[in-house]
Amino acid sequence: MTTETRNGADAARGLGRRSFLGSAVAGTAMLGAPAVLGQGRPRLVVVGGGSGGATVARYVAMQSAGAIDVTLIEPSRMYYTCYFSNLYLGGFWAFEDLAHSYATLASTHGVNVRHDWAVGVDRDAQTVALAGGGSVGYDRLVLSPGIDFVDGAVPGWDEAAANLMPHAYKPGTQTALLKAQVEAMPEGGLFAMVAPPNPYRCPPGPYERISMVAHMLKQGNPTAKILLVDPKPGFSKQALFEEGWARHYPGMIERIGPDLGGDMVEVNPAEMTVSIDGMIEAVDVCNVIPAQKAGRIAALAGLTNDDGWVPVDPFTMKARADAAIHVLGDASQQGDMPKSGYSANSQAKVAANVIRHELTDARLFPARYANTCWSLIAPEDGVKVGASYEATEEKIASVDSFISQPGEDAELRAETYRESIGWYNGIVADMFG
Amino acid sequence: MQRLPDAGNCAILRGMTCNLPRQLSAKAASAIALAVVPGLPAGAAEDGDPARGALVWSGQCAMCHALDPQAEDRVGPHLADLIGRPLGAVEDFPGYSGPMILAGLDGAVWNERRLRAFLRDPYAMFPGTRMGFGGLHDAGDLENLMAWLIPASRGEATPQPGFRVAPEVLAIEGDLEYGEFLAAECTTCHRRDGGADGIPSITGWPEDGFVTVMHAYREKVRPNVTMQTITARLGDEEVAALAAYFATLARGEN
Repeated sequence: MTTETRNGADAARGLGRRSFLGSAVAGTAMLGAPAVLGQGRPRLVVVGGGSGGATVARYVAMQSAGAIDVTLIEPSRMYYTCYFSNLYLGGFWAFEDLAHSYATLASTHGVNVRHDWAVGVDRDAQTVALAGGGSVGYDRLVLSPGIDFVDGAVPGWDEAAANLMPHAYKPGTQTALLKAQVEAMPEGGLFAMVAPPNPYRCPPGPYERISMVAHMLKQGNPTAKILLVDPKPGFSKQALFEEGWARHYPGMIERIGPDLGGDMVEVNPAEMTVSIDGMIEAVDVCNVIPAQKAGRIAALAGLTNDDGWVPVDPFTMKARADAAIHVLGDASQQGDMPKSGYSANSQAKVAANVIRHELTDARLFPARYANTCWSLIAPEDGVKVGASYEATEEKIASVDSFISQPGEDAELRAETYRESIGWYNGIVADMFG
Repeated sequence: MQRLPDAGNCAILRGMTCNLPRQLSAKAASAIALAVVPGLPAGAAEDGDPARGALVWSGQCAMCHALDPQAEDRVGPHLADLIGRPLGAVEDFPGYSGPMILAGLDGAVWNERRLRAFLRDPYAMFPGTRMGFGGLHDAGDLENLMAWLIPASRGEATPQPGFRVAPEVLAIEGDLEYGEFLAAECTTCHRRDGGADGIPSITGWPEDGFVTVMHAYREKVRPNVTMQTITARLGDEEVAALAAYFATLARGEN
């Protein structure tokens, strides 16, 4: 079987657009590729029901029309998106509107949704162990576990401190906690954010969050200040955010980059202080977004590298170390794509095609990827950055890109914001519809 | 019932006079349509330049709308005799949003003020509009288009052909299965159920119209940097495959 899966990956690799389009028999040639493995319906197991996992489960189930048995393992009964959680902070989006149910995946598409934790992967036996007991066998496994935080990344902070200094960087209650804390800030108080080093989930996310907190404070606490402690010399959409901050929130936001000690930060959650290169600052709210790594199951499966991510094959999204396992989204190390929900959704479709090709006789098409990240700076002031990508031997490589421009007129910004709402409703329909 | 915004409340529209010609002679109109330079005939619009408006029409509108009521189905309804026509009322055009049809049934007709407001920001007037166009943000472009479109709609200008795709490209037969795979890149944003709220619906379009619109993005004739980037790497066969696939999906209800 290992040989067969390698053949599948090789087929994907050989399938450049030119050769695909240039050959009228490409489709029929692919029919000769390996089909069903063993007895009964081939089994796909997906761990993690977010943008990568829900999408791949839905597409394989929907497009294979029952030919592949699809199991989705996800502990939460409702999925809360990380994207748009900043808009909830800013008062533009309801908390309930971040929540999505797995019901349609089960009822319409026939996905076995198991609300349980995956706690181990036996790659030889091809089984996933569940916290609730027992295990599930697979012919193909998809891991799409999102992120975990690197222990000790911000001295003084650990997950136990997240009720005092929330990260609000995984979906759900942490975001609600952070919002409540901002609302409870004393007049003229200080909000601090410790931004993460690269690479991390949602590159513009921390800066959109700064914008949304500033918007909140401008409404109810206009003399409050925001301190952004950042270990990175630059950040995503920097010119756009800085222009917007100066226009909408003048004098409110101060950023301390690594040149001023932004990379030398410690926190004391009990005292509510932040130490920047030895200078101690008392804060009222502190949002700590630590350095990140692949979700824990990826390491338990033995697939992560020294950086904590899973290197993947750009043509198939398979872990380089195991041709029966695809790794999607934030947890993967694939090249130029940002860690975003859009990216994970895009990668899931390539993986779904490869899985259907290898487990049934579906046609294989050349991998293609895309991403766009929208951010809201202030009411009706939306910006975006995006790119298209292709698979190369070395990595997923950017082909072409675009970004909103400083100084754009208000109507274009409003249109971009509306576009982001359309995208949100589109991607959740594409995952859960 | 859908409330129509009063364009008079719109800051940008205030202070703009609309002084479009009631009648244009055929000769004058064709002179304008040829896009030969300024020197407007007496009685023409003071604010809008129809010659420039003709260029806006051919670049932005004509890939989806015809002025000839007998023209084959396009992505959007024909615009013949638009002024005075009820909203959402072209018989047999299947792509209107529900609110637009209801507004028409409720007695709303296209007049200059309403048309201007709609073209400037279609979504503001009908949040569920199925017209995949973000609006003419440039006030000059808008007035120029108005100055050309209104007489042209009455048959008083030579129709501008607009952006067109070569017949041999339109003739490419789309590979449906490939289209289904490629479509997954679109459905991250454009909903398969045809719903539209900020991102246009693309289901159930006539195939030729779909191909024309995608090529217009690819050639950067049509604005929107995201779509220009997405289409930049779509070959003719891929566009045909997508057109074939999305044509199989029913137009949404909304």
